[in-house]
Amino acid sequence: MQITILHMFPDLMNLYGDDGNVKALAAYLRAAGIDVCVKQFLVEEPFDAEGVDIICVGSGTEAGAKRAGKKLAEEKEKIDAYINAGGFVLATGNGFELFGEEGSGTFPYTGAPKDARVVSECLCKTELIPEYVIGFVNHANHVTGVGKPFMENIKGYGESFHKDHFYGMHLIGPVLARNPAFLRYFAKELIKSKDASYEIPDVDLSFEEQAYAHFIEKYTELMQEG
Amino acid sequence: MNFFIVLLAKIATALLKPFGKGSSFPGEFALKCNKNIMQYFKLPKTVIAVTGSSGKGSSTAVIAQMFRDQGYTVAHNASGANLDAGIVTMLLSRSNLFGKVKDQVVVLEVDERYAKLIFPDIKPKLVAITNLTRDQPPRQGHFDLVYEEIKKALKPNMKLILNADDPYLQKFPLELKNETIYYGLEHVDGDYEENVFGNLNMNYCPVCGKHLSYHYYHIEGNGDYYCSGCEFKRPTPRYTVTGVDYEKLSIRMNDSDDLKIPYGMMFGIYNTALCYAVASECGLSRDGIVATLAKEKANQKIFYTFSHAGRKVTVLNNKNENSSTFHQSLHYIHRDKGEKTVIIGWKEISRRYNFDDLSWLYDIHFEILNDGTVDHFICTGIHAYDIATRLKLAGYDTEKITALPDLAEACEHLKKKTKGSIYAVLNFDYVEPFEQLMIATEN
Repeated sequence: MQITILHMFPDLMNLYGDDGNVKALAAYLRAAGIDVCVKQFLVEEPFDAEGVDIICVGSGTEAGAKRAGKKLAEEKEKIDAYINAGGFVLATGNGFELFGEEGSGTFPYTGAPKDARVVSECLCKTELIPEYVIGFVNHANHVTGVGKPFMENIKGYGESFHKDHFYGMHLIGPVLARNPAFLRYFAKELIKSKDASYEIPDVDLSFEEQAYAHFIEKYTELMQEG
Repeated sequence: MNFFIVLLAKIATALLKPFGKGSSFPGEFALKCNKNIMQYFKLPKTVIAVTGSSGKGSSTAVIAQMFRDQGYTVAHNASGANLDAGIVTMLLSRSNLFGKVKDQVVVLEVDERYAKLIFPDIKPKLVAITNLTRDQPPRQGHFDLVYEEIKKALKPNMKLILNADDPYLQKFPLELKNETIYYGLEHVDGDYEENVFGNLNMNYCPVCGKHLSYHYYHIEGNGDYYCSGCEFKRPTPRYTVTGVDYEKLSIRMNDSDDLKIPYGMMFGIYNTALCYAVASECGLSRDGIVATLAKEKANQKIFYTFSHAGRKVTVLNNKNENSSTFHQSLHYIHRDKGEKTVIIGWKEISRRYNFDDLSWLYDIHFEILNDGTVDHFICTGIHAYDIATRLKLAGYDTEKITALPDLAEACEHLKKKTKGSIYAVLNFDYVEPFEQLMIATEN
């Protein structure tokens, strides 16, 4: 099996280590015996979804996001077609706003600046997996129109949106690297969409799991201290 | 009124002195009494300010020393208190009751986000901006926001001194009309043709938006850039480093002066060039500038080497939440083609949050060390496993990565189970504990 990751705007929307998601996903898939091809989609080039299995896009400055949003608005038809055909998207930070009204308009949500930048550590609950999702947010806009968020904030702020194979969230940077359970879930969904019968071998994520366990342990201690 | 505020603040300074307390307290007090108290001070003609993400503390220390060595008296916030209260505190200590600063020259290190509260009153003649890098994202947001803050502080009669090699800093002359003087590096040893760092802050032309091209890079986005779509390109510096000798720790300026550098790291070279440019613009003698630099010692908190059981140990201090300081260290390590072991860690990232932002760890391009010369990585401290994950994702074999959160255990492992020169890439909070553990158990 081969999986092609399209890294969207790697030199414009990669402010907070968001390419960590591309690295984590590619490493996991390779360890699971899958050929991985990582392509780039730059803002000066036409969008080409040919052969693409998943798009990853990350955070940018407000100016960077504006330019990226304008580009996706120009490519709206192709972006809509890709998503409607069941293409995967993992969009982190303000990158997830690019698929709303300020960008391709694929989904009916919209971002507007808040009084102050939204900066916080996060602990989120999702119906997709039993484990909490951990991370950090750092963005300018508050997003409305997302309905019930799929990443419910137990602690922290930020919005999120999930539909079919689209996963958008304000959590920045290396979400997949920091959340091994979410990485396993996400990679499995992606693999199964290509070949439901593919047997995924056990992939070693022991560093990731120990880092995650450390966070949860520290969180629990802090909660007990009140 | 201001007279009495200054009097009281001076009394407070004198009273607090025996307790060694509150470095910015007198300034805070004076600002509370009159938020415009800075306007009360009468400053000498030569006022120099240095701001930017990093290097402003060490640069101002060197600039102040250059003036002193040439017979000037200097007021300088050497304590590193670089917010408004810290600067008022320093001015209080160097002025009389009428606010007249007694020194001939004022050299200020100014926090990049507080410059807008300081420059309008202090009116520096010369403003040097070191760099705007990815730095403390939870506090700063990002470089565009810091840029806007600095821009608010700049008035038309302030002469700017900028690094010509960083295209991001070109936003200042493009959007402002200030007289601007540049320093920079010519093509030197160690340059490379293609970008080797993952993320650069400016990839597109600030004039026309086309993708920027480079003839060569020095580090990160610093290099000889140009736009193929318009006239935008690196300006020609007045102060050009025309050669770098890492062995002798020396750089050649404008093909004439040999300047000693404290250590062979890129941003250190830029800081030395900045100091030379500032001092030259102020009319200091070239021989004197060279002489001051010649006696500057490396700050052992930033760079330190010693030997352990026949292995060379190099301690490189980094600032957490700042990928550029790590890049400088990796760039330095990368020049050594011998076998090596790298230990990376910190006690904590910051005290601002219960949990931490780790996104900046993914902005560090650890991939550049992947040339087969690293025998082992040891990850230590509170985020040992996060660092190990990052290294794994940079393509290193997990067999070569050991995560040991306890620093003492990590040092034991380092001594007994690894080979080659040792590079310790540490946050400042682990520099001394590491050295103690390595030196205490020697032999």
